Amino acid sequence: MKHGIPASYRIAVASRAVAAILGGYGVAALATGCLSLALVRWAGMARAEAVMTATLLSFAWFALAAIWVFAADSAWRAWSGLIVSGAVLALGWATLGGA
Amino acid sequence: MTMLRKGQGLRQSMAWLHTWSGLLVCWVLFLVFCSGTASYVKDEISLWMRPELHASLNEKTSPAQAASRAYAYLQREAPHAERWFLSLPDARNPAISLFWVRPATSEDAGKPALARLVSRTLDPASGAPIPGARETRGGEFLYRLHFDLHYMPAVWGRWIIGFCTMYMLVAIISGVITHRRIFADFFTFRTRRGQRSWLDAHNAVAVLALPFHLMITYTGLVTLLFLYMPWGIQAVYHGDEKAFNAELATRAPRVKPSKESAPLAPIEPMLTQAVTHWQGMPPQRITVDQPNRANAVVSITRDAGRNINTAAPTMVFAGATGALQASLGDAQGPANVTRGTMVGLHVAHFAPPLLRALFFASGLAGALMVATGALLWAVKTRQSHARIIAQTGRTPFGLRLVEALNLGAIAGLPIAFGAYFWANRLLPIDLAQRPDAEIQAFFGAWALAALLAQWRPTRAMWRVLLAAGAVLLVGVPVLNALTTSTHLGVTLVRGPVVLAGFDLTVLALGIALGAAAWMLGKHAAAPVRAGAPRAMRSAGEVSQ
Amino acid sequence: MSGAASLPVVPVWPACVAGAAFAVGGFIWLAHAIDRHHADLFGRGAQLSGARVARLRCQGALALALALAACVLAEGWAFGVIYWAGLLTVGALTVVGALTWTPHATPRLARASIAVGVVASIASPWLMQP
Repeated sequence: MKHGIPASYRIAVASRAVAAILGGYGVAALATGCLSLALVRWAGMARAEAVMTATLLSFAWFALAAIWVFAADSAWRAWSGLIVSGAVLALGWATLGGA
Repeated sequence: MTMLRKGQGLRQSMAWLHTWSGLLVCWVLFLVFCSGTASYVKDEISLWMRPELHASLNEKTSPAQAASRAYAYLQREAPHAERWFLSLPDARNPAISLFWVRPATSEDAGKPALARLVSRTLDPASGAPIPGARETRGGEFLYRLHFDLHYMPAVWGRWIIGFCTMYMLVAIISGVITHRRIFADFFTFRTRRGQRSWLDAHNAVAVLALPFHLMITYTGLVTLLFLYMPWGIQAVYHGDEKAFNAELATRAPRVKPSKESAPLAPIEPMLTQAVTHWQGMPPQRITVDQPNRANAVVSITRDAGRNINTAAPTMVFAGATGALQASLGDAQGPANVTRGTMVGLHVAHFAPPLLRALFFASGLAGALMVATGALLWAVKTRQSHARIIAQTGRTPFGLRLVEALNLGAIAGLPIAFGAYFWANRLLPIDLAQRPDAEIQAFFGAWALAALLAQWRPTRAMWRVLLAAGAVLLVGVPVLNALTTSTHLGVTLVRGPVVLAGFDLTVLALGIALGAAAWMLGKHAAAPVRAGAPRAMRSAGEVSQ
Repeated sequence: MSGAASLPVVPVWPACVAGAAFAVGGFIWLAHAIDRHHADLFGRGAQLSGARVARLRCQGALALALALAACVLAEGWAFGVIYWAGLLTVGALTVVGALTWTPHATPRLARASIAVGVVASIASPWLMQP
C-alpha cells in the first residue's frame, strides 16, 4: 500500500509487534507466576487466593508491557526493557518456587 | 498517516498504536460486540424464537416440581449418560433446559466430549418437550458465537477472541492517552465535516461509555482467566489444576464412573435441604455426575439473585443416597469474590430489566465505537491518497480491503441477524437439523453480503446492504404477526412484555439502518457548491 | 447472606428518570463551561468569564451528584453506581445531540431537566404506595 517505506522501518515495527505480543505475554506470565509465589510466601495468603489475585492482575501487566513497547524510543529499548524485567521475574520465580 | 518514529513523544506513538491495535482486529470485535449485546437479552431472544412456549409463560411451577419432572424425563431418556445438566426455570426463562453427555460409541473416537452433548427444552408443567415445538438454538447461538465463534473447535474461537480482546484493551488505553483534549472535546460533534464528523462520532461513543468499555474488555478476559493465564497455577501448584480447583472449593470435583450401579435417590429432599440452607433462595442449576452409578454426585447451585458475584453457593449430595457431602461457596475468599464479581459484571445476569437496557445501550455504543473507528480509518486513508487515486484510477490494495471488510461486517452483520430471525419463523417446524439450518441462514446471508461487499465496496453498495438489513429487521415484527399469535398487536396490549420489547427493539434497529441508508443517498445527491471545498471533500470521502 | 441489597427507599424507575434528568441537566451546565459550547450559545469570540465557569461547573457537578444519590437511594451502593454509570452515558449522549442540533434550547432544557429530576425524586415515595 505504501511505497518508499524503508525496510528498516518495517523491521523495526515488526520487531516491536513481536515484542509486544510475545514478549508482553511472556512478561505477564512471569509476573503472574512470580507474584503468586510471592503472595504465598511473603503475604501469607492461601494458595488458591494468591493464584487468583495474581492471575486477575495479569492482563494489566500485559497491557502495560504493550504500551511500553510502543512508547519506548526505539525497538532496542523496547526489547531491553522486556528482557530485563523478564529476567528479574524469572529469577524471582525460580528462587521463590524452588525454596 | 502517522508513522512510528523515534523521539516523537507519547501522544504520537500512542496514536499509531491505537490505529493499528484497533484496525487489525476491528471486524472480529464488531461481531463480538454485536453478539455480546444480543447475549444480554439471549433468554428473551430464545423465548421469541420458541412461540410454542409463549402459552406457558404465565404458569408458575415450583423449582422442586420442575426438577422432579425433569429428573423423571432424564431417567427415561438418558439413564446411562455420563452427566446431566438441568437449568431450572426463572423469571426470564420459563422452560427447563436440559443437557446430557451421552455415552461414547465407536463413532465418537477422537472427538471432544462436547460432541456428545444432547439438549432438550421441557415444558415445566408437563415435564416433557412441547409437542410440535420447533427446535432452535435461540439466543444461545448468539451467546456462544460471542466467545466460541463457530465452525471451529471452541478453544480456537476462545483464543482468537482472547487475542482480539487483548488488542482491544491496548487500543482503549492508547486511545485515552492519545486523546489530546478529552475534556474540552467531551460534547463535541461536528456534522457534515467528513473525517472530523467520523472522529467526533468515534470519540463520543468511546469516551461517553468509557467505564463500560474498559470494564467489559478486562472482565471479558477474566471470564476465561485460566485458559489465557495458567501460570499462577503452574508456579504454585506445578500445573495441578485439580488441586487448585479443590482448594478453591466452589465446585464438586468430577468422578470417574464406578462399576456398580445404583438407582438415583429422589431429588426433592435434596432440594428441600439446599433451600433451607440458603434461607429460602431458590435453586437454579442441577448437575448430576455419573447418574445411576454407585458414586453418582448431585450438585445443586443456588440462584445468584441480586448478587453481582456469579459464583453462587453449591450443595453437593451423594446421588444414590441423598446424603449431603459438601456445602461449597458459602464463604468465599476476597480474590474469588472479586473474580466472580468481574465475571458477573460482564454477563450482567443480575441486572433487572431497566439496568439490562442500560447494559444493552452501552453494548450498542461499543459496537458503534468499533464501526466508527474502522470507517474513520477508511475515510482518512482515502482522503490522504486522494491525489494518487485520482491520478492512477486505482485504489491501493489495503484501502480497498479495509473498505470491503467494513462494508461486509458493519452492513452484513445486521443482515445475518435478520436472516436468523426470518429463518426461525419460516423454516418448516419438523425440519431435520432445524437448529443448524437456522444457523446456516445466519452465515449464508452474511457470506452473501460479504461477497457483494468484496465485489463492489462502493457507496451504492452501502445503501443496498443497509437497506437490505433495514428491510429484514423491520420485517421481523411483521413476520411475527403473520406467523404467530403473540405479535405486537397482542403483546403491546396484554403482554408478555418481553416479546413486545423484542419486536420493538428489532423494529427500532431496522428503522435506524433505513435512516442511515436514506442519509447516504441524500448526501450523495447534494449539489456541488462553489466555495464549499469541505462539502466536496465529504462527498468524495466514500468511494463512489 | 452476602450481597443483600439495602431496603429500597425509592422504587427504581422513578429513580432512573430522576437520575437521567439530573445527568442531562448537569452535563448541559458542564458543557456550557467549555469555550466551544459557550460559543454555540453566544457566538464565536464571546468571552467566558472565570466566575461563570466556576458557577456552571459547580452546578453541573452537583446535578451529577444528585443523579448518583437517586440511584444509590433506590438500589444500594453496588447496583446504584452501575445504574448511575449507565444513566450518565445515556445522558451525555443526549446532551451531545442537543448541543449539535438545538444548542440555543439547551439552557431551557437544562432547567426543565433538573425540574423533572426534582419532581421524580419527590414524587417517588408516593409512587411506592400500591
